[in-house]
Amino acid sequence: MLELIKLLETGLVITNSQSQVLLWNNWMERVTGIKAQEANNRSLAQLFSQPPSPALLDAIEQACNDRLSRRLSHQLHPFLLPLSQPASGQQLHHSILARPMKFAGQSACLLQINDVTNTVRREQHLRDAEALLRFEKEILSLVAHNQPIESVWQALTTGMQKLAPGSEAGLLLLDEHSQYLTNPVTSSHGYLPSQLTVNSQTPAGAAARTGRLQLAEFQNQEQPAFWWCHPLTTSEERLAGVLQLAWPATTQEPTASLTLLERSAQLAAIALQNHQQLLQVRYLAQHDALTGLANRSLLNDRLQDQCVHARQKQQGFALLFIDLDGFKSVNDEYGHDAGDALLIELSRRLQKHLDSRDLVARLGGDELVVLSQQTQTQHQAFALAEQLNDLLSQPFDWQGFHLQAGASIGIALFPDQGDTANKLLTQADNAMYLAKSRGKGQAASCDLSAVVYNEQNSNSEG
Amino acid sequence: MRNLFSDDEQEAIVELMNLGVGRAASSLSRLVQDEVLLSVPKVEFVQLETAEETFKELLPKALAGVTQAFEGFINGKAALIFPEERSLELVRIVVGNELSASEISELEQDTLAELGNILLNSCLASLANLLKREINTALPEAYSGDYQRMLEVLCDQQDSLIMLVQIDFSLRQRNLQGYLVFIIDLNSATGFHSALQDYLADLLGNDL
Repeated sequence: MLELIKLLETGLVITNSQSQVLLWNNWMERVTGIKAQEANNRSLAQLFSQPPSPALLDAIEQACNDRLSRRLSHQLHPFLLPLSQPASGQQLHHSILARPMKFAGQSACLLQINDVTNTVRREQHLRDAEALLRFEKEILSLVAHNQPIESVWQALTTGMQKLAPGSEAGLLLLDEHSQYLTNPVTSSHGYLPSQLTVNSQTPAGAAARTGRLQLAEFQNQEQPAFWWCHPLTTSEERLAGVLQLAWPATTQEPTASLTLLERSAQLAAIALQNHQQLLQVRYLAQHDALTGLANRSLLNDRLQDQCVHARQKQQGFALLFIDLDGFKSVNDEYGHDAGDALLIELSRRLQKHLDSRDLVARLGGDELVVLSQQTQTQHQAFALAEQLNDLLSQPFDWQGFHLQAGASIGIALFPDQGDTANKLLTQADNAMYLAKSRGKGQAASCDLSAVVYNEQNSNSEG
Repeated sequence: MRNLFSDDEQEAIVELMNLGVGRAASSLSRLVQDEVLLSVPKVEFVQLETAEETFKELLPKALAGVTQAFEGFINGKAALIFPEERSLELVRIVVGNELSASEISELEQDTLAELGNILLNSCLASLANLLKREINTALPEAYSGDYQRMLEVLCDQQDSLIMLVQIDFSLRQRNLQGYLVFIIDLNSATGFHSALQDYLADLLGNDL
C-alpha cells in the first residue's frame, strides 16, 4: 500500500487536526525538497518558511473534527502551499482535496495535492488570446464604422497598454516628405518620443529606414529599457509609420508582447488603409472627375460655410458664375477629346491664378463657379471677372489645333445679392445670362445691370 | 410520506437551513473579501413521484452546479444548482475574471465545485451541529445537464425525500438565484425525524 502511494504522480499528505504530518509521499518530497523523515510529526507551519494558507488549515480541522470533505480550488486559493516545480524552480500551481479519514486509529485528514500548473498556463494563454481577439474586434469595429482616425489611434494605443500592463504604446506616422515621424495622439505620460526624424538613431528611426522589426534593449536610464518598433506598411508596401511598444526594466516583459505588437501593427495598417480609402472616396464624391475641380456638392458645402462665416465677420465675398463662350463649337469642330482637354487646361489656369483660399467648381458641362473670399466689392468683382475672362480666352494649342473659348461671367455679392447659398447661386446664374444676352465676353451683375466689356473697357461699369 | 414532517418540524428545518446558509454566507464573504448575502426565501418538499414534474416547473432546462454526497444521521446527496449560464457568472463574479468564453474552464469548474462545497458543507454541518448528530460529507463534483439527468444522478434510491431550497445570492452589486437540493434517503428519514423531535423538545424545554 505504501509502495503504491510512493508511485503516485500526485501529492499525498496525511495530517492530524493540528496539521502535523503523518504521511508524506515521494511526490511531496520532490516538490518541497523536504524528506518524509523530516516532515513526519512536524506541522505544516513548521515545515515551510511561508505559512500555509489559513483556508488549508481550516479544511484540515473540518475534516478531522467535523468529518467534512473540502475542495480547495486554485482560483480561490492561489497560494495554498509554497510548492515549486523540481526542474525549473518556478511556482507549482496546485489545488487540494481534503478528506476525513482514520489513520492509526485517530481522526486524520488526507490531503491530495494536484498539480494544475499546465491548466493554469493553458487557461492564461486562452485568456490572453481572447483579450487580444476582443481588442482586435474593438479596433476593427471602429474602423468598419469609419470612426475618426484619431479615435482609432487612441483606442489602439490604449488597448495595447491595457494588454501589456506597465508598458507604453506609441504610434508614429511618416509625413509626406518622408522626413519626420510624428505621433498623432497626444500622449499623457511617457518616455516614447512624439516626434523624431527618420534619420534619428533610435529603434523607431531604424524601423522606418529598414522597414524591419526592431527589438531594442537599453541599459541606461535615459530611455525605456525595452523599446520595440514595428514598421507600418500600406498595402502598396509603402512605409507609413512605426508602432512602438516600450516598458522599463522594472516591469516584467508583457506576455505575448511580440504577438501583440505584430497584430496591433496589422490593425494600424488596416485602419490607415481604410482611412486613406475613405479620404479618396470623400474626394471623389466632392470633385469633378475630369478637371479635379470641386463639384456642386462641395461648392454648396463651402458656400454655406462661407455665408455663416461672412455673416459672423460682417464681410462680403463674391460668387462668379462662368459660362464658356464657344465651347460647344470646339466640341463640334474638334470632338469631345478636344473639349475635355480645353476644360482641363482652363481649370488649371483658373486654379493657378486664384488664391488658394478661393474655390473653383465645375457644375457640369461648361459651367464653372468661382467663390472668392477676398473679393468684397463690385469693383473688385468686375476686376476679377475681367482677369478671368482674359485668362480663359487665351488660345490653347492641342494636337496642332488652336482651341479657343471666351467667358460670360455673372457676379453675385454677399450680402447685396443674397445672403444664402441658393440665392447667391441663382443671382450669379441670372447675371451670367444677362451678360450673355448682352454679347459674349462680358461680365454682369443683376443688381446694377452693369456690364463690362472684356477687352475694350477695362474696369468700367456699364 | 406526505405527513412525514409536522408543520413544526418543517419550520424547524427551514430555520436550520437559514442558519446553515447564513454561515455559508460569512465563509464566502471571507473568501472573496466582499460582502456576500444569501437569503433563503423558499423551502419545498417534493415527492419523488412528482419530482420530475416539479423540477421541470421550477428549474431551468440547462442546469449546472455541484453535487456532494453525505452520510451520517441522514444519508443522501445534496446539490447546488443554477441555470447553466448563471453558474459561470457566479464563478466569474467571485474570481473577478472578465473572461467571456461561454464554456466553463477546468479551473472555473474547480472553483464552482468549491463554492458549492462551502455552501453544502455549511448547511449540512449546521444541521448536524444543531441537531447534535453527526454527518460526513464526500468531495463535491461539478455537474451539468438537464433536470432529468440531475434527478438520475441524485436519486439512485427508490425511496427518497427531496427538499428544494431556493436561495438568492447577492455579491458585488450582482444578484443571482440558485437552488439547493437535498435528497434524503428515506431509510434514514426516521433518524432525521427523531433528531428533529429531540431538537423541538429541547427548544420547548428551554422555553419552559
